[in-house]
Amino acid sequence: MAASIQKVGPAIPIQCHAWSSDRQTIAVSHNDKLVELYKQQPGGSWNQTDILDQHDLRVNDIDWAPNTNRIVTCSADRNAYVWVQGADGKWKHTLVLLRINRAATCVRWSPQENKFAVGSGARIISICYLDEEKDWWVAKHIRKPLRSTITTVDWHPNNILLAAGCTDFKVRVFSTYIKEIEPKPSATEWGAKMPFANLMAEFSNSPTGGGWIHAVAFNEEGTRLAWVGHDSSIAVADAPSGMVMMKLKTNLLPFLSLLWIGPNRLLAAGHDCVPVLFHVDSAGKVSQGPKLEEGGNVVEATAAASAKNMFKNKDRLGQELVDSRLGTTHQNQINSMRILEGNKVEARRVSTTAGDGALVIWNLASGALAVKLTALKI
Amino acid sequence: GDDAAIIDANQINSLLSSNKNVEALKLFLSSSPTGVKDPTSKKAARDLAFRILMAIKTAQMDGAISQLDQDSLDVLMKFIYAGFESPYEGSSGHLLVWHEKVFSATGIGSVVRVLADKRKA
Repeated sequence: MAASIQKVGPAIPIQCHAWSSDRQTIAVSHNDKLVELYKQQPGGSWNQTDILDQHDLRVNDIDWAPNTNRIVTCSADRNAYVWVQGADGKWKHTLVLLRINRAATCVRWSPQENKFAVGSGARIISICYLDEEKDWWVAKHIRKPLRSTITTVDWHPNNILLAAGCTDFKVRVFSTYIKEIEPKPSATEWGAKMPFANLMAEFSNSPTGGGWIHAVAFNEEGTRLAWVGHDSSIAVADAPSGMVMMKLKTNLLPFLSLLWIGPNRLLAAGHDCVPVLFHVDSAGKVSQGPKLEEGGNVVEATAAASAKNMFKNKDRLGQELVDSRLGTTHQNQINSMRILEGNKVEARRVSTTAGDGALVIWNLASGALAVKLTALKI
Repeated sequence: GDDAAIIDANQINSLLSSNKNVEALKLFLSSSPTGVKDPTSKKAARDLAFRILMAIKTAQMDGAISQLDQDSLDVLMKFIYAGFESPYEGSSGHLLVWHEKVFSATGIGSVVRVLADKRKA
């Protein structure tokens, strides 16, 4: 089956999810202050193994470092916690003082997992690293020229550059070079000078505003940066060609999440409740491919059982028909998407979580989807 | 940076009087009419848009739409909604037909951009 639904807890909207490196355990947050870990059982069902309960307010993002096995969570309570699993299997937390006065919105470990970046509503990105001497996470701030809430961050493979999307309709690339913990980076296509918080590039989503940025993603080599905005658009900036930006305005509802699944392929998902494929050609131009499943917004309705119920419903609801379901697997907007199996060059399976509380695993290598992928013009 | 509006009202009016309505529409939409800032000029732009949209008959709409690019269609949708917002006598019916035809060309994306874009009609 190309798309399979997994039940991880109650049918309450899932805010975010992250996988352990062996992909046997998933960390999810159901729109509350808890982070729940579910482990897959041999029969295919999911058992809750741990609850990480330290935040006071809603958890907005989770990231799980594959090599060091550390989990980082950030919340509307303006804090982040780093969680480490002890020999007894229990998760111990360490508070990270982000020094912000608004909610933390998004968090990602750097590729080498010695730093993590937290976006916030305080118009600040906190770059956190471990001070080995004091065994304490220190936060350094990137402020200029951020004018509004940071909604999404993604790391360049060189462990220094960070892309950030913002509600001021702009996407920016910053340097997060911390001389205390890492060697001076060599030049990349994004520039040569990289002091901490240096703005390497800035892109406006649209001369007419363009809507909030919902997700940013570097490709495998870090030469291209893709993002999706609330104006139903997807754009790719190509550093080697001189920061040329190519944007595609779609006929669909806005996307909320974005992944590179191949050197020229993007997968975007959001308010249409189904992931959509996009292709980027050598000139950087973006073209829309197929949705991972058809179904659209079919309203399958069942007529009420009796004449009495029919009139009762007409009176109460203004319509005779009682039920309505979307034709897609997800019944609500997809807000988080991860590569489950594979990598940015060749992703084989992808996971999505949505406002319907469902976790869906998409097998990109399965028959029907594989056909769609190869049908995309290369 | 924002494109400042460069609406050539005289040219557009003269096109309308010679019944070159679709030309008038194309010229209007490509003059960055959403870039107008002050309220008086904004009203003037809306009035001009309204006159053009009402002048084009239902039978001419499909032809007009097929000559517009994606950006122009987005601007057109903004003025259609502006027309719903401040209706004139009998305008809404005609605008509803416009809406239906532009929608089938652009899908829901252009409606999202009416709401999400900073620059309004």
